[in-house]
Amino acid sequence: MEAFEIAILSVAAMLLFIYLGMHVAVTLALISFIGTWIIKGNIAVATSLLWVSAHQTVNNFVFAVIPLFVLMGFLVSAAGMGRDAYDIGQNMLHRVRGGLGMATVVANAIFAAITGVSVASASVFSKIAVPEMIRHGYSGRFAVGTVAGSSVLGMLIPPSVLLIIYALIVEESVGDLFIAGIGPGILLTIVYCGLISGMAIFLPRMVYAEKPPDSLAQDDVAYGSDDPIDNDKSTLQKIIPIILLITLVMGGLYGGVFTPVEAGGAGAFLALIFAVARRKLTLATLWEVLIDTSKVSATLLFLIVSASMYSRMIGMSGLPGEMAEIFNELGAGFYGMLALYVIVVIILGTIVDSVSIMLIMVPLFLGALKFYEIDLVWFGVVTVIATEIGLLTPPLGLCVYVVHSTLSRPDITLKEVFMGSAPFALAMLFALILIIIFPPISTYLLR
Amino acid sequence: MDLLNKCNSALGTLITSSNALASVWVFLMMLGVVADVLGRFLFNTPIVGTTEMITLSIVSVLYLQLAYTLRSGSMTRSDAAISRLKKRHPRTGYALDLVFSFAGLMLMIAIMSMAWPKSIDAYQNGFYVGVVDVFTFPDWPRLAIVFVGCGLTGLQFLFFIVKNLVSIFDPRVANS
Repeated sequence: MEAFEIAILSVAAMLLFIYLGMHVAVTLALISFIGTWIIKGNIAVATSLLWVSAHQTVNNFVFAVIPLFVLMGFLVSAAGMGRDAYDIGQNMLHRVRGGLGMATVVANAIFAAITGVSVASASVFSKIAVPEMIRHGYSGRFAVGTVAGSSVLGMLIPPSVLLIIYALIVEESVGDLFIAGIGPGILLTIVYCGLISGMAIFLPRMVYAEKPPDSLAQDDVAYGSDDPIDNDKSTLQKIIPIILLITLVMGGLYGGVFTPVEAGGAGAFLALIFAVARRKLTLATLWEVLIDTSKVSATLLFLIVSASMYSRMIGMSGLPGEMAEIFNELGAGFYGMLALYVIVVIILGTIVDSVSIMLIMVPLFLGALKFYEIDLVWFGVVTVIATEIGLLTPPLGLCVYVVHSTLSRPDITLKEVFMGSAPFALAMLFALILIIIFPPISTYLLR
Repeated sequence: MDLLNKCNSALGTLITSSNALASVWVFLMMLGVVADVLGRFLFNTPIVGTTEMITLSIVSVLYLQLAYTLRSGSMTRSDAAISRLKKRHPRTGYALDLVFSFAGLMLMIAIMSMAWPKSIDAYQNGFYVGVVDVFTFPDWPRLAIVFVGCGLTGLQFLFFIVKNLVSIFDPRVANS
């Protein structure tokens, strides 16, 4: 058997095992180990590959960005800045038709600019925005759809852990990826707002509940129950910390003052100061934040470790070159290949989380797409959007699950969340096609 | 059963402490980065060795936390198919889960079998990171932590194996 055929079999086996429920990192590492062993006909090569990946892959200063930005994301949430972002959006838009829906989108966009973990934004906004929208007569389906749909902005608008991981695996600059996410993030925010406005005017049945809720349930009013809407703080008090954080992190990064690691550390520290100053941070909450941080960052780092074995195995097998040849023979060309890539990524998004998809698919297609001299930064943004579309798609859209389980309301079933987020998934597809046709949407700011 | 529960809670204590240590470590990493930046801006001198210490922290923290991510169920996996299987055909479901845990255990043993000799090697030969006369730090603690972390994670996988094995014969156990 040829090396590339072994690689194809390995990839197929990985997808099967991942679907059946084997831990993604274990699957990637173990099957790459076996694949390498068979390709090289030598177990020593496989063992040394395993060891090098295990202790060397993330043994590089730049990988410290992952724990630091994750920490910053959780601290920002603990400081209650998600609530602030939502209030700002609401103040801006509550007079417009469909305004609360748009406020949720805009709030997500603002919050995305200070946090890099989408888990944080999905859970914060399902708790704040959904009750608020239902209270104002929106249908539950639309409310949860809006939250699930707009949580993708967190992965697109910098800082973003997903963009960081992409930058690290293809060895591009983290800063460049961040800049490339800004344009598409704004585009998607506008497309979503347009969608909501259009639905509110032309398809009000999809937006508003048939009959308004009979009472304002007490527990619906606020984020959690012990955190009533904060009218003491003026809009200015809410907006200034956000602006300061964006200036420190993004400004520091682009101004060349900070390396990405330093930007993450400084951002986390400033978020810590805000949380302490607002008396939101007890020792117990700080501990919770640290434990959450360690769970997320260790999971991500270990995935990167095992994926590095996988990408070396793929490289060794010559599969990307073979794929390029096959595509040339088929006459599919660049766009054919890209279309296939996007479709596969979207399908995978229904099985497994975005980081895993990225780690599996990018090494596979990158080698083949390199022949077309694509812009790797632009390709990263395309990949991020494509994976996030999958997260909104049945049967296993993960984003939808997070929203559903955080809410845990009997009146909102999983099906409702999927139905509600479908228009947003389509809107994302539309934005993705625009970005593929007009790459400058993403790359313009880089020049 | 009693013995199993005791072992499990002892393992839980070990894993939680290891994760707690790593969580504090992450916080210190942040403070280290900030101190380094402040040192550079205010006093024009970065703190010597920060980069080296932070670099070796990443691997250390990762492996100290690994067992906890597995135990708390945050290690990424797609659990829809297997939980459906466990409901409809419990025995097949638990058997499959057992196989997957076994795969995890094998991976941990494979890494440990490399980590042990390499840590000894690094210790005996005095391998270090950093630049001589500026800042050096021995490399063996980092490699030893890889060994320890994979050991804890392996034990957690072993516990899952035993639990699934028991569940195959008596599915009621799984719910306890």
